[in-house]
Amino acid sequence: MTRVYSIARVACLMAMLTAAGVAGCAAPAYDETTDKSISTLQNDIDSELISLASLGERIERLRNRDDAASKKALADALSKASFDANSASYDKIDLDLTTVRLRIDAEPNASTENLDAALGSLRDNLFGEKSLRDTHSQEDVLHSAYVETEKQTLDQQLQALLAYEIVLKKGASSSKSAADGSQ
Amino acid sequence: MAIDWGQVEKDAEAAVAGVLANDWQTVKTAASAQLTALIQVAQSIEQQAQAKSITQAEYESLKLGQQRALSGILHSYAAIGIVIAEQAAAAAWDVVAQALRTAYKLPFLF
Repeated sequence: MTRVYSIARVACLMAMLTAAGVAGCAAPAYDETTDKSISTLQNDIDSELISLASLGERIERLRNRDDAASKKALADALSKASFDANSASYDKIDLDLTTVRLRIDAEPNASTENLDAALGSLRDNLFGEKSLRDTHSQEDVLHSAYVETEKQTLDQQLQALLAYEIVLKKGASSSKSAADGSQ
Repeated sequence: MAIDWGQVEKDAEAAVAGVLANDWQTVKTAASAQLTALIQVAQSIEQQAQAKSITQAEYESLKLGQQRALSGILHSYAAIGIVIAEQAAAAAWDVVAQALRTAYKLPFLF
């Protein structure tokens, strides 16, 4: 699975960089703040999804038990997995995504349009019609298998953004090394 | 009935190529990798269908998520507009849905 997603994200990255090259503009510069913002976004999304998947598994396991302790644990897990209990996490992720978008748009370059499209697609899958949040709101409690499968799609989109930043970072490091060597 | 996912992937690729026509060769590498990811998600849906642990809303969300991911990659190429990219992604999922529909009687697949 990881290998396939790696190929996909590198291919997507190549499309972004090719677009930048075709446009004939200066190469995009590495921005550490953007890089950190994307990492924060990924951490917050992963934390939320891992928590929801774990709660989903616990709920599915506890549903088949009749003892009082299990029933109490089930009620607790259902409460924690509910949409209302997680709405603050969605708000945080929404804010993270807006921060990344604003940072990228603040210094436009040849790749900005493609990055904005990638972020738009990610936002649609998180907050748009039939998105993760939309589905959570509708179902209130999500199946663990759904959350894990949704995580595959979102990770794939996030990895394309992170891979792009890594390439820019390597380019910045190479330029600095070349500059240091020429002194 | 077991689904032949290898054949489904080939059929989905042919469906996308049919929509993209001459642009297929340009995006083939990126699109093929994304199609493989889409098929893996479809296999996960198959497992959820077998376990009867997927709702209509969850299925629709996974389906649209993969369509968005595929159309996003296709649209990142200048030659392919968003409408064609979305049509190609929908064509790929139609192949997947047909396979799931044939194998499992999930009411929302009809």
